[in-house]
Amino acid sequence: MVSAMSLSPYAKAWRVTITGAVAAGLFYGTVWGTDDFFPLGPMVQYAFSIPPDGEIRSLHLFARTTAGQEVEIPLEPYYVGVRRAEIESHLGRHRQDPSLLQHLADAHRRLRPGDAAPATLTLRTKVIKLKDRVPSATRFIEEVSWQVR
Amino acid sequence: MAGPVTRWFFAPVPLRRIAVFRALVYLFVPIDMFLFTGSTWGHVHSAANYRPVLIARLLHLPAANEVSVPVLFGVVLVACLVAAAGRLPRVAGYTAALGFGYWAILAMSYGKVDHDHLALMVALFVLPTIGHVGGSRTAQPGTPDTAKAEAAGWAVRCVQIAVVATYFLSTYAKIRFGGWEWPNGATFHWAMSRRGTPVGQFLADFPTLLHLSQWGVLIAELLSPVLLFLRGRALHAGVVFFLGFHLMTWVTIAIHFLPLVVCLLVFLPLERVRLRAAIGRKGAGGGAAGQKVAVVGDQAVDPVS
Repeated sequence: MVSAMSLSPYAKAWRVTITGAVAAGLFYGTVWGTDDFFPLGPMVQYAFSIPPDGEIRSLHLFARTTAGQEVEIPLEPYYVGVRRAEIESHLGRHRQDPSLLQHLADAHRRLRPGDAAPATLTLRTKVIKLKDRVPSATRFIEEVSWQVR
Repeated sequence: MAGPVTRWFFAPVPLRRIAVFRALVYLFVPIDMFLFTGSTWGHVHSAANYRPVLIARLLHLPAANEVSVPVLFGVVLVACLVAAAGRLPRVAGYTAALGFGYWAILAMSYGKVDHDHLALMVALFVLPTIGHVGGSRTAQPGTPDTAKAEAAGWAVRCVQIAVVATYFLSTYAKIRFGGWEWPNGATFHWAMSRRGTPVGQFLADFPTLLHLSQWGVLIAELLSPVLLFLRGRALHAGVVFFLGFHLMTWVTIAIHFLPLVVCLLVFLPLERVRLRAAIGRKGAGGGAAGQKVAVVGDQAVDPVS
C-alpha cells in the first residue's frame, strides 16, 4: 500500500537512475553498437543508402518439383521457418555449405505438407539495376543449389 | 534532483489512462507473438541458424525448440491475460515482461534484428512498477493516489521517451550507416521493389515522390522529440501525423511498426475511453468521455469532485 502523499525521494531516485542507465545504453548502442546489442542497438531499419544509379538485390528461393516444374517458395517463416533477410545474412555460409538448404527443405515439408515436394532447391539473387532511380534492367544470379534428400 | 526535470519526469497521469493502456498492451502482446515476432515459431525448425544476440549469450539462453516455444507462449499468454484484467499487476506484469523479452530475443537471434519493439519492451517493464490502479478515479492532490499518479507519470514518460527514441535515433542510424547521401538515395525504391504492396509498386513509378518522401521522413523523425513537450491539440496532431506515417508504410510496404503504434497511443488522453469492464469499475460515471481530466504536461492533476 502506498501511504505517502507523493512518491518518496527513494522511489523517484531509483526510477531516474534506471531511466538514465537505459538511456545511456541506448545512446552507446546507437553511436557505437551493432544489431548484436538488441534491444539497445542502433535503429538500422532502412538506414542504408542505395545510390540513384545503384542496384536493388533480393534473395529468392526456387524449387524444381519432382514433376520438373519450377516454382518460387516465399522466404517467409510460415513456408521455410526463416525470413528472407535472415537467409540473406547467412548467404555466405549457404554458399560454402549447400547442405544447409536441406534445413529449408525439411522446414518446408513440415510447415507446408500439402505443397509439392521439391527435388532441387536453388537460391538466386534478383538484381534490379537502377538508372536515375528508375529500374532499367533485371537479372538473376545463381547463388547455390541443392538436391533435396 | 528537484526542479523542472523531476516535475517533468513525474508529471501525474490519471490512473485510468494506465488501466486503458495496460489493457491495450497486454492484449496486444499475444497477437504480436503470432504476427510480428511470429518468426520465433518458425525458428523451432531452423536451429542451425541460431546466432544469439549479446544478451542471449550473456544469459546462456537456449535456442528455440519444440517444447520451449509453446511453453513460453503459454506462460506469456496467461500472464498477459491476468495483467490485462488488472490482477496481480506486478507478478503477472514482470512475468509477461521477462517472457516476452526472451521471446523477442529468440525472434531476433536468427540473423535479422528488427527495431520496432523498443517501446513495447519498455512498456512491459515499467507498467508493473505502478502496481494496482484498480477502480481509482483521477488522483486528487493530497491523497495516496497522488503517489500512484506520479508512478504512472514516470511509466508513461518512459514509454513516450522510448517511442521518440525509436524515431529520433533512427535518423542518427540513417546518417551513420547510410551517410549524408541517405535522403538523396533510392532506399524507398529498394523497399518498394523488395516488399512493395500493389500500392507500393504503383508508387515506385514516381521516383520524385519517393525521393521527397525520404526527406519528409528524415525531417519528421528528427523533429519527433517535440512530442515530449507539446500539449493538447498540437500534441494530438503530432500523434496523428505519426499514425499516418505508419499507415503509409503499411499500405506501401506492409511494414506497420504496430508495436510502436500501440505505445504511441500513450500520448493521447486514453482515460477518456470508456473501458469499464477492464478496470472493474461500477456505478459512478467519472472519467467518461467529456469529463475534465489531467493530461501529461499539466502542472497538477485537477481535483475531481
